[in-house]
Amino acid sequence: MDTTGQAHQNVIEEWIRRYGDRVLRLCAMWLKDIHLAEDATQETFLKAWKALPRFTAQNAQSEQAFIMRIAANTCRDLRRGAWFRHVDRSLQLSDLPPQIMAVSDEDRSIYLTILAMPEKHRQVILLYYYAGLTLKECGQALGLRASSVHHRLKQAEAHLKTQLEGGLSHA
Amino acid sequence: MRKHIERAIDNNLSSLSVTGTLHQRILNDIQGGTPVKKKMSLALVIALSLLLITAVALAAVILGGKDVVEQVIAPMAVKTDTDRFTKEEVEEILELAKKHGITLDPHFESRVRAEGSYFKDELAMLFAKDQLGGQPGTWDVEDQHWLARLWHQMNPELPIYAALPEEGELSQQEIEQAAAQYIKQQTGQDEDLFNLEAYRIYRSFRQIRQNPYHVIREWSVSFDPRKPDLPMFRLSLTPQGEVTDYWTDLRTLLHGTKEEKARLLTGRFHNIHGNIYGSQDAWAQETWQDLKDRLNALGLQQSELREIKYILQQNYTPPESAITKEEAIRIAAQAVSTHFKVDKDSLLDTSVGKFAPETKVFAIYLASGGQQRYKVSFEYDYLVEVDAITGDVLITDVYSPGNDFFRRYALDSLIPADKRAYATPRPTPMSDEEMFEKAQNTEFFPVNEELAPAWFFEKLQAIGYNGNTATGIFNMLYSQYGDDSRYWPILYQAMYEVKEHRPEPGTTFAGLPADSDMQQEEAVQLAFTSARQIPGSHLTDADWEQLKPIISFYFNLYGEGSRTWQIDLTDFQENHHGTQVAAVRIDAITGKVRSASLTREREETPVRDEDAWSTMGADGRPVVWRHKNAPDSFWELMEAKYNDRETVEKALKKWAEEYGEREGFWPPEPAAVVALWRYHDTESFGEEYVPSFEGIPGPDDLTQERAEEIAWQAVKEAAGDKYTQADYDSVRLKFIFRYDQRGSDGTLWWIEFSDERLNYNTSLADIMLDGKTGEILEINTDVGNG
Repeated sequence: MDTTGQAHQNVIEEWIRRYGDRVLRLCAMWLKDIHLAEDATQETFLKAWKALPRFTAQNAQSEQAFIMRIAANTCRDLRRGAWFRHVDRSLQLSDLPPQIMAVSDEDRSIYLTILAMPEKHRQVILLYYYAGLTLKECGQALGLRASSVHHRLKQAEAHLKTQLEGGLSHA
Repeated sequence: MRKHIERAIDNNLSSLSVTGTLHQRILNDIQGGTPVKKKMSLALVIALSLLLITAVALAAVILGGKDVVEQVIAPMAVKTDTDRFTKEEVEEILELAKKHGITLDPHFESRVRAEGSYFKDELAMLFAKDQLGGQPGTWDVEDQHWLARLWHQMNPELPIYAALPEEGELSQQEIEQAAAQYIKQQTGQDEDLFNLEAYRIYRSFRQIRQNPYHVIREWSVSFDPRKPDLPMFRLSLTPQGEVTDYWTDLRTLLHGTKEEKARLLTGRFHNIHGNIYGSQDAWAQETWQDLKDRLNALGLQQSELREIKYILQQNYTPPESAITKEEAIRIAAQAVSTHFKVDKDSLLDTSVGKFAPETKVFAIYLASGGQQRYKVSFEYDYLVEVDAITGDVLITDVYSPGNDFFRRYALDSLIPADKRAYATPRPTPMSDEEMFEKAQNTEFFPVNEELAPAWFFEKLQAIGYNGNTATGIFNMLYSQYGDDSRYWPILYQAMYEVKEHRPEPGTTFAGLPADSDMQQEEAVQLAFTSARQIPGSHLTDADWEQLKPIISFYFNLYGEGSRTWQIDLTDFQENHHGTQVAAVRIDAITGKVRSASLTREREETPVRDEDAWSTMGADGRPVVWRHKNAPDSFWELMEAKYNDRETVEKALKKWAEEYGEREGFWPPEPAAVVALWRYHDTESFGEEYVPSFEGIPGPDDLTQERAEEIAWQAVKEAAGDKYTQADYDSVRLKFIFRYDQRGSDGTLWWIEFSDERLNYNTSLADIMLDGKTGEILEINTDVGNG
């Protein structure tokens, strides 16, 4: 590998270390499939490596946005791909990975509620709150206007709140 | 909400992290998938030679690295059709440069010589950096454009990545002033942005193709602090100076939690002290200690981030009795040499390292829990821990990218055993020749008739995709159609899907029409005709005419063997990303329309926005109608006044004019109608859906005025001195009266103190009161409960 290639590989190694877990978890929540999430993570960093010459921003925040947008696009591409149209990808509780840390009831409820959300809501919640993208960046990743993302986000928050606060108490 | 969501996902998925195996898979991908650069065609070489020979003839003086690039490297590059210089050519360039008093950094020069040949564009970059500085993002845009243009001349497959402002567009100096002015408006103070000791300024001006219909031109300006306690600013601006994106970490720097500040500080050290990409390998011992001291000063005891956790647990200042770092390196080299039968001199020879000299041999003093050691690693191959007092060798191990990254920076005793383990064998590196060979000979689209007919693979093979052509093909796609594969010609969509997603037989994937199928032009025409016939569209002829088709083709969408066109008619007038207006699917085999529907993702749409309404029942009312979670009195009112959608639509329009577009501030009755008619998405949640209704206070319930009084008093008491009067002056209350079993008679008031300064998306506090008695059920005074 040439000098620049090696330098780029070093960057990617650094990024995997910094953002790898978050990318993997974002993909897992998006795709609801841990194996696919690993594929998507692999694909994300490969794309990031290929796109490195086009990336010159220097701060941690923009790096994260750069990686997360690629991850979102990769997940979106995967969803457009073969399996998703006709296969039921609902995640059973037994399929979930065991937690390393003890999880509070509240954390569990939020997690399951997000998993159960309609895709369009889950995507904006994940990108905005978990991937840390701005509304504009979410829009770029999803092919929507920032105002549309905002609209969806408000709807998603309303659902989340209803389920966690009002709805659950009626159950 | 952000903190809650992050914590919930991270805690629930804490076992899901990038394993050594996955890490290695990615690296294998990168190492095995390097697109080898294409050779130039002979005709092009001749044309470029003629172009550049003129420049050589005119060349008289070589004053710096730029002149070497322009007058020596570029003309020499186009004389041959390879992408590397020969060893002799490299020597010639170096000698010629030296004659004019220009020499590369000795480390780079020895590497260039050692490798025998060098990529032409990269050698150009080395000399350009020699004159303009090591970080191209800090160069003036004219210099960035200059090199991009030369690169493109040397290899037309490389796009001109840096643009120049044109007439009517602001210059670099003007744009940086505009950015600084904007920052001043936002922060209310003069930051020392143009003091080069305080800030490093990165800028770029790009022309980016978003899709076949739009190219945007955009400035990026980044003020990166060179001192840990200064804020960072990053902006995107239009060529006319309008700020389209603004980010700063000022708020975290001033008001973040200890953990947030610790992460920010650590990131800042990476930026300031690391090389361009922030590797810690180049940090001095004092830098580590400085970071550790600053983290301690934050009062942080523990961190969720392993990097910070290790730093907090370790000390970095060697005592006087410690052996020197150089001695430790010597001992470590001897240990590796003995243990692994490696030539000691080669371990220590930094002149031919793949990395910068200071990273070829990395050594750091670490002390924790009574252990005082030097950790030494040689490139990424071997790792040794040496007792810093006695010089005893304590650990000798192999080390590769498959290992835990932190093994270079933390004592092994702090790292969990499973992370210390040598995870995966280091892949045998391929030579460039082997890589080229592999790239050329790999068969990318072998016929697999279980997946698709043979003619499909023949069409893909005809593209000529392989490791050598990949760069050119993708650069062509990016430059002509943008990087979103939906806009690419269907042949390339299919190529991309088969290569990247490896579809399985019988599943739906991007395919191609057979020769006997309906072809693309006819399908697009039919799509427009069908979409225009869909009832309910309010589009005019002019609206239809400006729509653009986004074209996809699928195998197996309607069962195995089916072939389907999907044409999305899209509006690119109002935004660059496009808004889908209609979607039409056509059976390519029969030529018949399978489905045609209107879709809208934008607001203010002439077509009904399906998203904006609750799931409707057969009677045209929300399916939650008459649900037991709301009282009879509520349903009687709804039936009397808001019983059908037409009435509700008129009411919503009237309320928007009367109370404004923000539904959150509407009075209880309009708010209840909106919630009932627009936010019950039962289809998405299925049988699990438990509706909750916003309601209308009855004569015996707590009035809104009284609820407001209680809420203000309670929040001010609970918040103490957390908020200033200015904070409270910025508050606008959102009231929700809700039917909820937490209230004593099944009702409650939920009041949000939303913050006008943040566009009402964030609140200072929220409070829940019993709908009858006013008793406080819940109160929260943390910022951010948006």
